[in-house]
Amino acid sequence: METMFAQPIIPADDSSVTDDVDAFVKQICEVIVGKNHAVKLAVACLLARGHLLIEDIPGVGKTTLSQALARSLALAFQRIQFTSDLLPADILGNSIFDRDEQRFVFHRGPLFSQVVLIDEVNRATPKTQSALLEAMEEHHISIDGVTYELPEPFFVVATQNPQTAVGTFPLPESQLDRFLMRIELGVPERASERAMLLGMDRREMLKELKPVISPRTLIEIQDNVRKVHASAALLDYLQDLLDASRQRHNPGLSPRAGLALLHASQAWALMNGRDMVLPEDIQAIGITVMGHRLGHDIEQPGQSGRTLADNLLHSVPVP
Amino acid sequence: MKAGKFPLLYPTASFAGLLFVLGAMWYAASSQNSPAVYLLLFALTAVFLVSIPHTLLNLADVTIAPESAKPAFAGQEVSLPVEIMNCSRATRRGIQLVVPGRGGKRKHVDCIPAGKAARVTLRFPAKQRGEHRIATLRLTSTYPLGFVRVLKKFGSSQTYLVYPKPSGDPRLPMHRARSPHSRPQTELAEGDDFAGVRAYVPGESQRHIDWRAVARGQPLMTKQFAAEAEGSVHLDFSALRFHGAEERLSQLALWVIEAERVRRPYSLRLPNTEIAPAVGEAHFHRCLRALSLFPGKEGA
Amino acid sequence: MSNSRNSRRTQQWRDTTIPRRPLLWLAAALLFTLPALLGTLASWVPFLFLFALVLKFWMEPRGYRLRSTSLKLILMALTLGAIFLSYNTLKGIEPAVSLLTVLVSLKILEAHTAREFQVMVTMAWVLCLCGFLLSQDLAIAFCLFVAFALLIAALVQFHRGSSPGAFWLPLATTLKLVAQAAPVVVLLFLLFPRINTGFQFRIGDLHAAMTGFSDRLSPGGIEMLANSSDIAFRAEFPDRRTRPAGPMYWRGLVMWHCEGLEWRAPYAPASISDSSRQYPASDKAIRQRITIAPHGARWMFALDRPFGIPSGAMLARGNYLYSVQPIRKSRRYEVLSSTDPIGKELGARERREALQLPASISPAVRELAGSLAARNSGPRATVASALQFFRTQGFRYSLSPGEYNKNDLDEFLFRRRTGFCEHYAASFATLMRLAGIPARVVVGYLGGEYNDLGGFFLVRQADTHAWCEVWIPENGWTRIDPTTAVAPDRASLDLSSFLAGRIASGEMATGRTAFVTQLARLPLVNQIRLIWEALNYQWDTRVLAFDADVQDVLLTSLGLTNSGPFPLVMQVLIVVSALLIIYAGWMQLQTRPRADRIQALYERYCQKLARIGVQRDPWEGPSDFAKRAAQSLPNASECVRQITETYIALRYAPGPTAISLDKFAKEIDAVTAHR
Repeated sequence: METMFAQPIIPADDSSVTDDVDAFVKQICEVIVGKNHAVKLAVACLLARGHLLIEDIPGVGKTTLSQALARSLALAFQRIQFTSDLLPADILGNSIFDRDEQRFVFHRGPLFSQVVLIDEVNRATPKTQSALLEAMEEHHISIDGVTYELPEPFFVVATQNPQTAVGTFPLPESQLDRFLMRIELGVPERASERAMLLGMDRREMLKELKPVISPRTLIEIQDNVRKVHASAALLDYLQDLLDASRQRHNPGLSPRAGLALLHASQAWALMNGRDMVLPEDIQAIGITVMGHRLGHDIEQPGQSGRTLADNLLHSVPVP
Repeated sequence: MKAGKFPLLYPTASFAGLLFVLGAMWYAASSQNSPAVYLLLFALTAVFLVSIPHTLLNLADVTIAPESAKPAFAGQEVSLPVEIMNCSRATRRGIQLVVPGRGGKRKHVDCIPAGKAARVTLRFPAKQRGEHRIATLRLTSTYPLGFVRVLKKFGSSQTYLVYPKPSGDPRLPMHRARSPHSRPQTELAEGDDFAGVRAYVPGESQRHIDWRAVARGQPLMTKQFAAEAEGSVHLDFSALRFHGAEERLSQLALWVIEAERVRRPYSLRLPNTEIAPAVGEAHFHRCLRALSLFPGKEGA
Repeated sequence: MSNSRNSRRTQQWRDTTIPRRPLLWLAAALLFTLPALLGTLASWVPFLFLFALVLKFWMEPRGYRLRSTSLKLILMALTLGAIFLSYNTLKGIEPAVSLLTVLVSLKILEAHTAREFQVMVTMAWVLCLCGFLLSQDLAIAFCLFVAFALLIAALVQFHRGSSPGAFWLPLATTLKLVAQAAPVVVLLFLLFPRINTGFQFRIGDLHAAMTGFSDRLSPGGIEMLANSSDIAFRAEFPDRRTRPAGPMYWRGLVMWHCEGLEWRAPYAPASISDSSRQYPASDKAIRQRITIAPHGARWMFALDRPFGIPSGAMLARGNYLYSVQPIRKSRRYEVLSSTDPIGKELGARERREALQLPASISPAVRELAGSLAARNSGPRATVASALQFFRTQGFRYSLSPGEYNKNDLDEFLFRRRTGFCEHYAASFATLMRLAGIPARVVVGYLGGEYNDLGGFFLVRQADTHAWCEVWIPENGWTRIDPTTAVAPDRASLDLSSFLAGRIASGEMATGRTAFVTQLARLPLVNQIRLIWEALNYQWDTRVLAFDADVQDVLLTSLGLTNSGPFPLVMQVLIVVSALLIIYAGWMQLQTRPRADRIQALYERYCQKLARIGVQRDPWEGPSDFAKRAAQSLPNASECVRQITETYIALRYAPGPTAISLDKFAKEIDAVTAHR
């Protein structure tokens, strides 16, 4: 979503931050053609220290997006393909007995990375899923009574295919809540697809990506996001949204969802060069943040969460 | 949602009763030259007059926000959830909401505290298939005395879908014969072995609803039986032997429901659209949407 | 909302049954209409009515009601027959009111929908109307207005539906409505022209029954009134300084025709011609304002010897006021009286009439009269010796002297010697006539109770009194009250206080129980009684007396009658509408969502843009709206941008801002200029 003003209304304290982020977004958009909005949302999710769930059919660029994110940030990237026989240890790591040292040594699993792409997260068993989601939430792993900190920044991109119903374990609501956003990439428009067909091989492009933001800068930006000002009027609006969702839906949005909305909109405001959150920021990220949290209304089965979220945003007045 | 500029005010049926009483009082008072009866007459008149601004303002700062109506099958009821918001600092009482011209009932909301909202579900019969527009919603109130009714109209561009009424032969066509002459053969689409339950799809037969689950307070679930035939079903508009387009659409709608119920992939072919075989809720609604939007004399 | 199922149940409920609470209010209202109707209804109707109410509350929760048409018809026919049997007719107001009450009872049993509830309320209002037609007593009016308020409460409760809250909340709403309606009521009552519809109907002969004394003073006639607390009239003295010093004798009518112990007034009294009236000095005139209760006869009351005549009355021979029309409704008039004896000359015809005697007077009485006159020569001496006779011969004053016939003069004078004022007045006047002194009997009231709050004297039927007037040549007609010869303090008090004093001193047995008497003497009870009477007086004088004629006087004095009633109607309606608009504005202010100044300014700006054609959706953020507005209004885009920037800075930016609100206000004020 663009605001009408080319220039930020109130310039942010540190315009270099915005420049960095702009360059970052621009580079990824070169790889993922015609998905500017989705890319911006993904970046906002990253800046807000959240985790991203991409729900879409295969082949629309989910992997490419997460790889592009990782490479542009010079972060360690790992990809885990979830299958039904995957065990928690396979992602977290194992304690293996070392004969030389006569003790158990912990071998870190693929989750010990900075950007983790989990392909088809709904294929794994609930046990594995919950191990993953716990790690996502806590940013550390406890095995055999030992706690291992996960690296910073830590960003999980999970994908799931909405159409394959057979042999999957849909993520329970409580765990969907752990993802800050759920986005859909969708099939590109005709023109974008043509550009993609004509352009370079995506794999080649990924290899050539240069880091735009250092991990240190990323952490700084992430800290700055939390400092973006949310005024009383804005918090009123946010709480109105939460109240309305609780009145209309069962269950409504959780307090964690409220925090998610705030952080995501702060990130969005920062990306748009503002040092304060506007209602428009909440509206821009609202559907992706609320959609997966509202999609399981027991009184309105079959209503898509995105529709419910959209209805909320189009009925709760901005105070 | 935008309201009309001014709320309308018009007398209700009980106003006629009031007029009668006032007339009788006036007649009695003037013919008896009785100040006491005049006092009663003026008291009633004054209370009536004072109730007018009360009624008029009962809808001040009350707005509505309709949510999206779920699609319904023709012959069933459309339910349109609407949120009525009271933005004022006073409790609003005795509010009614109605969609004019749809044959639905007035919905009563007895009380909305200040700054709160109430949610009502308007129900009205889905008559014809197609996409319909809810042009206006009417918020009315006669509180406190019921002699006048205040009416606030809300314009709405919201639409709702009515799927064709499912009817015809519930047995699914057996194979992919696309010849328009062959009678679609059917097979028994369900076995005897109970295989589990899944969410009830509106419009499908109620025979397989797991009523015991309903009794436990769970949502409507349909029992599934094994021995479901593998392979996809092709539902072809032009392959049907009926003459009328509406009958064909009804039959197709029934088959879509049946196929979805037994979780068998199905494809739909209409003269203007074709939907690839799949199964699942999104697909189900996509097919029915195509059927309901099929151009025809009754289509919207 | 979670109570959607609950609301669905109310929905069905609303269509099939009347909820309990509105029904309770309605039942209470109906009960309060009952006292007004009780006197008129056939004795069984109230029971049917109460039975129907009770039955309804039993039936309603069980879903029972009167459904079958044939049963309804049968019940209808039965009750109609019963009413006919009770009254032997179906014409007239009493059967009509009974019929209406019966209809209401049957409707109560039948009603079950919202519409029928409204019908019941309508019928209850008609019952209120009937109540007011039948009785205008303050207590009854009070009941009826309570019923009126309860009916409004019933309507409010009905439209509240199942809103939560205490049961009395509709009453609060009702009181608010009534309070707001009060100025409108006063305005309409005072100024709305009482346009006569031209149709008249008479409510039976309800008030034809005479109250008070009659034109015949027979033994025991006044005695019957002695226990009546009905109001005869109320009197004010507008000029306080002219309040009479002595006992107040209120002249009613004068009786000329003597039949021993029974006296009679002429059927059609002759009027005193204007020229023969004597006017006393104006400084001795006592001005009184009298509100008379309807008594069905034509005499009117004034302090002894009235001379200033109110309109619609004449001064009859014997110096008493006589109305042209029978007094069938409450009436207020002003009259002047003098305390001096009047009449300097007795005409021959009057003298003959004032000496008329029945033939049946016994020799013993004649002898007594002769002895009274013989001992003295002058009339004054005769009067004195007659009074002396009553004083010394063991006469007793009693409320229950036993029965006398009209010829029992001997019995009274020589044997029983126990009597009430009428006996003394009648026998004294007869004795005077026998002694050759022209005499007549005056019937009226003596005394009255002063009401501090209302500043008026209340005279009851119990204060009825009879006294004599005798012709003394140098003095004219002179009042002689023989009762005072027997009970000297009677004249200075009203009867009830007098009797109370007598009972307290053990001279008289009381008819009432001691408890009631005790209670009546409690200061608090007395105070309440006085307040009630003052209220009653206000009700009678301010409301019941304010009929079309009085209103006409008021309107004329205000100069509002010049242009006929319809401009006045328009003016009243304009004032009422203005009042309603003020109410509406006030309520709007009370309930409008509260917003801070920034918000109010921004809303004003949005309204301005809406007028130009760009409406902000309630959920639209400021910058989105600005974007849209700038697209639709390219001319104003710079201004819109400016305002939005300021607004966002004020409302969403961190920390204190340097932008002043006034600057923002100016920017917004400038919007129309840009247009």
